[in-house]
Amino acid sequence: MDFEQFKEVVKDSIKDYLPESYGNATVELKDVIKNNDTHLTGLTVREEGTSIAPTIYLEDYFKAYETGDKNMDEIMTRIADLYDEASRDGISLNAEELVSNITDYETTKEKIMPRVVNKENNEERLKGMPHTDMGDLAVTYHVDLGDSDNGQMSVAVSNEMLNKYGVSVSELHDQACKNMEEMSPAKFETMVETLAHLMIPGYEDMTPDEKADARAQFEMPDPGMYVLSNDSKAFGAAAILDTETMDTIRNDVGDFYILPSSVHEVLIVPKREGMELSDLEAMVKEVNETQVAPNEVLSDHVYEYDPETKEIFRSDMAAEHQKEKEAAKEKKDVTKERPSLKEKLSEKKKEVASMKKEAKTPEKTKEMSGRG
Amino acid sequence: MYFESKDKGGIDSKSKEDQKFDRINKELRLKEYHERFMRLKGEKTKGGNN
Repeated sequence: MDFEQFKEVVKDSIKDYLPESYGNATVELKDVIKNNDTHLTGLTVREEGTSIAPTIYLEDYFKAYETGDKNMDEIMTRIADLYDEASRDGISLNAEELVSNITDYETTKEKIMPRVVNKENNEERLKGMPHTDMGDLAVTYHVDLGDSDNGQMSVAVSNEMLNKYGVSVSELHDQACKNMEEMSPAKFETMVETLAHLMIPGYEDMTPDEKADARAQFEMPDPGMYVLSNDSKAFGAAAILDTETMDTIRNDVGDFYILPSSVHEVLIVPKREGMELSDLEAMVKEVNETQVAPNEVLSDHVYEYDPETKEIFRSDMAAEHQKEKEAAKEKKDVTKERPSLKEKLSEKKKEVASMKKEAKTPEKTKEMSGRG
Repeated sequence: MYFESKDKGGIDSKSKEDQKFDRINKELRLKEYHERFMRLKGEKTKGGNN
């Protein structure tokens, strides 16, 4: 059975595994576009009278079927259990309540967070979403509905939602960056420290001495690499939008390369480490191909931060960035030298006023002297 | 899981199980970067000594 047949079998037989109360439910297969234009097939079972329905992706279940990890009966039972749990535990109702005000900007604006994604790999998805270009990367916006017992819930801001919000993309961007700095501040630590948090149980609760001992036992030498993410550790690559953090990093480690390890974090390599750009680029490409899930890849390129323009640019396009920067500076200087039409008008007005004043002054003097 | 809403788009939901997988994936990719970077550094030091 191939995936196409598998999808149809699941769709046609899911009701046989669900309680009788699902008798009038509508079963649909839906194509959902995720990050990097990854298409997933979702199975939606919508009960009568509900506006919200859980959707379960079928790809992982097909993998389990293909590898023989689970048989068809086990798969159907698991999917049906998931639907029933969502309904029984009120997860669907909870989600419905959470999105009830989502199209109202005033009540939603403080929950909007930015995410950094690859522009080229999201061509299809970005058509339906407001976004801000950042070279070959793009910033998208998501309403963070918070962390509950049922997990983290979020909704991507769509073009329709932005229309209802009645604000510009630039306003949305500023609001999202402000929220990120306040609610999910940047986290900058050494690679060893990050790995210790991930690999050593109870590391967070250790004293500084215990932490040093634990790291030593792990025999993990400090490679001089840093991890930049955020407090929530999800979609933390957006921390590169925080120019204050980027300036602080530059002050601490000097000029540096940015390795886009995933949409969740980036790696900082100080230039003082003396690494070749080509080696770093090859490393990013290879790790993306072998270790990063397709929907979590950020980019195959290496980037840098320009503290003067506060911009992120691709290292292999440093010469172009420099040219653009000089051209922008030149344009600014010319604009400064050449007065604008408004400035010219204002100058003229002043001249006329001054002429009128001069013309009136002798008469006044005459009058005054006459009085004397 | 994902929730399909009739009029408000889709709601992404990351369950505790998904978050566990995210943590494992993060550990794997960062370990890979760490090891590769250490190797590069080692090669560079060797080259420098020669």
